Amino acid sequence: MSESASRKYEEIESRIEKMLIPSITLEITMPEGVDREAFLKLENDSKFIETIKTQIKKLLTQEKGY
Amino acid sequence: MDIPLLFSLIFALVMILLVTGRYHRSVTALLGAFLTILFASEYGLFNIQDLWTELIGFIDLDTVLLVIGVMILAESLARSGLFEFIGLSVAKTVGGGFHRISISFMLLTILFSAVLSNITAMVIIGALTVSLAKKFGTEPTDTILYASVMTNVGGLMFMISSIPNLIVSAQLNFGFIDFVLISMPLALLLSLVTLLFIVRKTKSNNSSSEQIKVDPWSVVENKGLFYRAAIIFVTVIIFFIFDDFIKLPLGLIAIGGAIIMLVLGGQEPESIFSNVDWGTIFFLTSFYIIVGGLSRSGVLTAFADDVVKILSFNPAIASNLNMWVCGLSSSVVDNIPMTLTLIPVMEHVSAVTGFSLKILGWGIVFGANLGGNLTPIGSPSNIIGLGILKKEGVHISWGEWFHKCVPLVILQLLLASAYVTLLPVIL
Repeated sequence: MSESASRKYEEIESRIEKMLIPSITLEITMPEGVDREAFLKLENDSKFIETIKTQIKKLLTQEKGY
Repeated sequence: MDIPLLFSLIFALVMILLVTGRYHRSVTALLGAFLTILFASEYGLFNIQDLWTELIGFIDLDTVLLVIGVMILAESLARSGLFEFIGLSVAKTVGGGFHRISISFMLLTILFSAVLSNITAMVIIGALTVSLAKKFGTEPTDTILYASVMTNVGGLMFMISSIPNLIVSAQLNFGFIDFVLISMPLALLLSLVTLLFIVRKTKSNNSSSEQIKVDPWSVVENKGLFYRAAIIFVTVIIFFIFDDFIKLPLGLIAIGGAIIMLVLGGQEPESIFSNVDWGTIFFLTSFYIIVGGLSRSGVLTAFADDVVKILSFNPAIASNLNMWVCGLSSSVVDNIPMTLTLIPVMEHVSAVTGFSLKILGWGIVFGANLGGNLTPIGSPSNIIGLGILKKEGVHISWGEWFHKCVPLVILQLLLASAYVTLLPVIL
């Protein structure tokens, strides 16, 4: 696939994917006093991601959460 | 050195470089054109005193402008979000899981490739398919593969649907309606048969009836631009349709529409220009010069005389052989050079045998469009489809391509062959 077609594809695919499966990217710096390795592993930890999703739902559905 | 042999060698070199993909196809064609000019001038075939006028005489400017105009129009239309909007609307309306949506996307592929370049159509359908497959948690592989095949069926619909169509239409004076009247019935038949084949071959492994909860308008960033682009494009199509009454060169209509789109479309021209496939324009113009050299050196006439000996007994067989030669060669080499080379050959065959040039021309159109699907590298949409799958971590081997797609393509070519056989009766 040529470079321009590849660029065009990625641009359209990310736009449609954002519509179909909305997602956000967060950058969370490591809090003090935690283990570095354990912290970095959280990025791919499905249990952690589910916990965050639950928290987001709570925050956005209960106005007083902010 | 024997002059016809020299120009045959230049042509053979160009074809070998195209097949091997050693250089970008536009660079290969530019090299071939340069060698042609050099040797044709040296041997007195081109008039060196008036070289530029002579070279421009070989290039069909109407076709080149038509290709550029259609590319700009299609690019502007694609950027307006119209096609993503249609895709998401169809997915939302059809509902009922990925299998059902992917079948409806096959029809959408035909529609998109009928008005867009096959590359752009495949990029949009590929992006929609992959995103929806992720949403449904399923595999997009078969849908992408069959969409690649479908783009070339859509490429048969209109005169503007593919570059071989534009070349043949301009050189053999097919109007927009002339083209649709002959090509559309075959395109619809192939679409139906292909769709039935795909429905049989693919089975629903995802029974989800989840509805797509997305507003299709959310992919349209600027509604004003969306409507303007669509109106300008439809207007240009209407001008194409009524060209027999308007009597304007098709290239002028296309380039005029492109200029109006650039003025009123509100999109950044620089960014549109950067996405126009200039490589194809260089390739096309260079190949006109290579064919000009072949013609002046007598190679094409000698070849056409041999072709006449083989084809002189029946116009339907002549057109059929033309279609298969064009189809088989288009599976390994770009269909533009095959189209450009075969047209003057068929002109000679028609002049000698009295066979209708239009019937011979249809063989080129059908073969050039459908033959590319015989191999994974035969058509740009196949390369895009396989590139998309590679990005998703799926590698499709030549064997898998042959197993899944080639029976379908052979079926399409056989139907096209039967249709070509009937053409002398229809026309």
